[in-house]
Amino acid sequence: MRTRAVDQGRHDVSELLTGCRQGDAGAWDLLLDRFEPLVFTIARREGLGMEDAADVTQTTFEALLAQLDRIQDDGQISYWLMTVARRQAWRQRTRRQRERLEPEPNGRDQAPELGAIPDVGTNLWLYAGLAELDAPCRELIQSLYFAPQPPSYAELADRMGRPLGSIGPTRARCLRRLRELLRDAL
Amino acid sequence: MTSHGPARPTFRQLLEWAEGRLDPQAAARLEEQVAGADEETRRTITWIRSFLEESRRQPLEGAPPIVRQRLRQAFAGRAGAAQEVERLVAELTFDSRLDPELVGVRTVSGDEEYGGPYQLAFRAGAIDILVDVSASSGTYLLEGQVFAPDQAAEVWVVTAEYAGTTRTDIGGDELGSFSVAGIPGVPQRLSLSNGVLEIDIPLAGTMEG
Repeated sequence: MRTRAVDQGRHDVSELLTGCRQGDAGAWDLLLDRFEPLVFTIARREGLGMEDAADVTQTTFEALLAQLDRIQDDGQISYWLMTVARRQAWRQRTRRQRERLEPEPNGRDQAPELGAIPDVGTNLWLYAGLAELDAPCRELIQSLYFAPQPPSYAELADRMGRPLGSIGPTRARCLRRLRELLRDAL
Repeated sequence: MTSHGPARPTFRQLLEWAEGRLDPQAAARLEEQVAGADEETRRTITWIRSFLEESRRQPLEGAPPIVRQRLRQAFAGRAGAAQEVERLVAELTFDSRLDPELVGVRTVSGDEEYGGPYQLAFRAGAIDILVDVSASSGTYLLEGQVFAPDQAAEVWVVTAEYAGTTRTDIGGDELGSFSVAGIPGVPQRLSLSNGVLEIDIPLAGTMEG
């Protein structure tokens, strides 16, 4: 349910959290746009299958809802979410190991092979930086660099309603902004 | 006017060079510039290369649409707008195996032993559910779509029950589509849930050809 549109693409996380605290479902949706892939990816990288990662994502954001009025530093929300997601994922993985659950034969719920999972602790802040970008930049950078199958510039221009010639310069501007947000880290 | 030497390459030029998007001549010119680049330019190149490597190594995955729907419902619940879950039992309204005009079509690609493929339609209140049943190598595939008037909860979690156990699909989309694959026994029941409604579809008696 969306009550009113909050985002013009440039709201910071603090504004979105304030909107959520005031019951603005649009703000909640935009917050999820920003952080849901981050939390789900963390759960997957902890070795969980689709269904378990979906559960972890849900419980992580439900925990956020429960804590919404008690969170003191809105600027640290991405780290708060990452910490909760990793803890929930670890619990879920431990529970599954205890149950010795057989993997799904149809392959839909299979966790990635353990060897394919990078050390999740090393570069989560890259995702956190991504979540800090404004919405148009985030969509562009996620699509071009973090999608399993990146679209062509033409596809992206069409999807985003932008001129084809603007994609290249915009992506450079957005990446430069990401670098500033990460304070040169990498 | 004082000369300041060759202009420093822009971030965009360095990015396009690192991504291999420059034509050979432009790339050669930039490589010359980079060879004698200052510290800031070298740091930018290092950052771009590291970013490209890390982003390739760690793609982001989107959660299934059911997660967003559940979280919207959780938010509505926090604001006091949570709805009670209503439970419905669906009734069979159509079976393609009983349609004289379709009888000759039903075994085109299905497993004769299992009687598929065929289509079943059910109705529960104002909701229609179509289920395509097919079987191959001893396992069933149930694919379908839910046509419901509630646009806020169109993603469904579907659980198939068979031989005393279950298989769940959370990959449903905003069009109400679902697919439960690899069911190793005759499905006895389908349960559909969207957080607001739970629909029970008894299949016993409909699955045997």
